[in-house]
Amino acid sequence: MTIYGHYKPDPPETPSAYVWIHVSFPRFGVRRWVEFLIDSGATGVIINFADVRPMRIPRALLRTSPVRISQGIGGIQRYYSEPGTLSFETEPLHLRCHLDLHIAGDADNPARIPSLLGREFLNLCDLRLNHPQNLVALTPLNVDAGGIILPP
Amino acid sequence: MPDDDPYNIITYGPDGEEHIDEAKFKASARQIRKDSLYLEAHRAQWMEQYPDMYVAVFQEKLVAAATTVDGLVEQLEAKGVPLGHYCWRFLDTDPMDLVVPG
Repeated sequence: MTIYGHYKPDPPETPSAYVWIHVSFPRFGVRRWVEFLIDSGATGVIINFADVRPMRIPRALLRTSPVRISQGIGGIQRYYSEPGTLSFETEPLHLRCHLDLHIAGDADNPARIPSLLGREFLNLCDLRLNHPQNLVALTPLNVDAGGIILPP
Repeated sequence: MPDDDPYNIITYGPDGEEHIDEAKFKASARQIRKDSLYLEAHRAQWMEQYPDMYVAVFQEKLVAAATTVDGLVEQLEAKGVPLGHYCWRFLDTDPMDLVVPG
């Protein structure tokens, strides 16, 4: 089963690859569709402030998550690390991946930067990018019978 | 009792396990992709109307525009837009170079 993304003219002269993923945090009981920039320069999966804020995660609860440092296109930032579920619209059934996700809890986080799909997820997949064909395809290397993406 | 909220995709079992409603999930995924395409199609026009602002699209309509994320979310809440199901973009008139200098 393959997860398909898309290109966006972001910036126009050098379009970037994105993928829509449904993100949920069971401990917080919140969920949201997030459009992730595919970023092999980022260590983890980072949910930036503009996607975190509408989840309305209580600040006191968020602060019970451990703090991690993550490095990506926006430089080095502090994030809260929280177990989450990534759900992908695939055929014939949706795929899921359970990972520790990095949450930007502060407004001074560079909100203009999109959320980032980094190596902690990308390394679980065969990734194909072909801009002329508008192809963004991630094929998980190991999926169990229930549709859970596992380490290779 | 059937849950007729099309955006209530996930329910939690007694053990805390998540259960996804496959039909709602697919419908929601289709909608968010449509909204994303709608936003891209209008991006140049909105860049002139809402420079350096966040804009949000839901069900192929522009539903909010604000200079801050908090302002955007407040507008969306006031309009009853489900906060997990809109797409947003910052209409940056001076796009950053996303490459961090080495």
